[in-house]
Amino acid sequence: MAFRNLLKLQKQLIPQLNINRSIAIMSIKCGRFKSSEKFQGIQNHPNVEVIENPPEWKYVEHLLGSKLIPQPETKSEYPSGWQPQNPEKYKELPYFIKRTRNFMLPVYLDVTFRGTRRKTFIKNIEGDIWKLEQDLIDVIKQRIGNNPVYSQINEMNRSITIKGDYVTLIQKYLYSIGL
Amino acid sequence: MLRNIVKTLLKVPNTRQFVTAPTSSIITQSKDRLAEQINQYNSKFLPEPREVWIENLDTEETNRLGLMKLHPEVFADTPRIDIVQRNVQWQKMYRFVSFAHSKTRAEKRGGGRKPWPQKGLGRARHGSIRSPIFRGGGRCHGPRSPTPHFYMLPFWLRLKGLTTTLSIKLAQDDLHVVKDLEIPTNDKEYIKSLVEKRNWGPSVLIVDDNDIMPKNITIATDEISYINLMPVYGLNVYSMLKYNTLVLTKAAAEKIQEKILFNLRRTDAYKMEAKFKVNQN
Repeated sequence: MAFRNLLKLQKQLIPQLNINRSIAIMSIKCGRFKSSEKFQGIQNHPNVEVIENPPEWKYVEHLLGSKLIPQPETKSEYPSGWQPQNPEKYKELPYFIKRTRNFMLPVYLDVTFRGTRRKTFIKNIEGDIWKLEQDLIDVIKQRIGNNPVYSQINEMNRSITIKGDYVTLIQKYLYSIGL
Repeated sequence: MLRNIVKTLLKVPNTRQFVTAPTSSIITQSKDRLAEQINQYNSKFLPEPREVWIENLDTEETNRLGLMKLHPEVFADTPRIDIVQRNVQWQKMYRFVSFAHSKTRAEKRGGGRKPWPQKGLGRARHGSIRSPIFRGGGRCHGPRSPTPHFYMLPFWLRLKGLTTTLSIKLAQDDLHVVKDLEIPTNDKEYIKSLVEKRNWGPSVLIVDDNDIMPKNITIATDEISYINLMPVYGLNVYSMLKYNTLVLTKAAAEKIQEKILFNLRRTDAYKMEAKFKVNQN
């Protein structure tokens, strides 16, 4: 009984094909590209209605995600501790630090020699890089006392490297001055 | 069970609905906003938009037809000559295949016989006359042909290379924007004297937004080796440095700006590097 029904189904699916039925039953596996039947012309396929610009498309767009990095929403406080730049505060400073494309502070930790050397790396600096270095050293000295702070300035890359892990300290300081 | 499946399959209606995406895509909408996003930080240390004259090509003398504003992130970037160098090195190396070749001791002719007995002659012990320490012997760890030198520069360095080189060209007054590439004749003397009168230097690279360019300029520059035409998609650091003057059409300048600004802000930039990672998971 079931076999007969299957034959009926095969007749419906491929009415044009006049081939050996036993072989056809074996070969219909439409889940795969190679074994699926060949294109028979548009008139032999089910009718399809095409809708353009449906109102529901915005929900699909929402699922697709943004092609570009969106601007952050303005809130009074963010749970992660992240802060946007504050033009009121940094307006008077002789230097400026540009945020990364993801609106994060460009302050990084560089770990080399299997954790024995830790360096703090700050990039995207504009303006008076020497003044910024001095300010950062002053902030670090408040934490570690009168011990020496070793730092390096790369004027062409506009970056500062400081020996030691002071990433969180520097990030907090930069947030506090509005950068 | 099979019967049930067949029954349900037979019940499937013949009509289905297909939904197509709207014609105006997300990228084109947001691209218009990108060019407007200038100095969003409102800092006095960030560069202003650069202004350039739009010139003409239909007369030998320069006619200034208008002004054009160029985005500072693309045309007023910091001149990072180290990144320019890395781009040039990459462009030279990725297509370079070394054909230097030397034979090993196994590939050298002969040398299968022990030259003299191990003991009794008072000489040093040797097993083959093609050993690397022999004159005329094989070479150990020598160059083997063909050795490809292909590698991929990180996506952000390639992008930064373009912005840096464009900014350097503009700052050194070697970048000109023209309205279009329409010239009155297809005579090559016309374009030669135009380049000389405008002090465009010994070589000129002309970039248009499309790869099908006006007939006259293609015929005129065809036989001149130091003036070349290039579409926007072929623009690269090496060519910009190779030619003295870079001439962009207005449409090309806008397209370059649009594409670079989009790539600087795209969310899926990590995918651009994934293909070239050495350790693929």
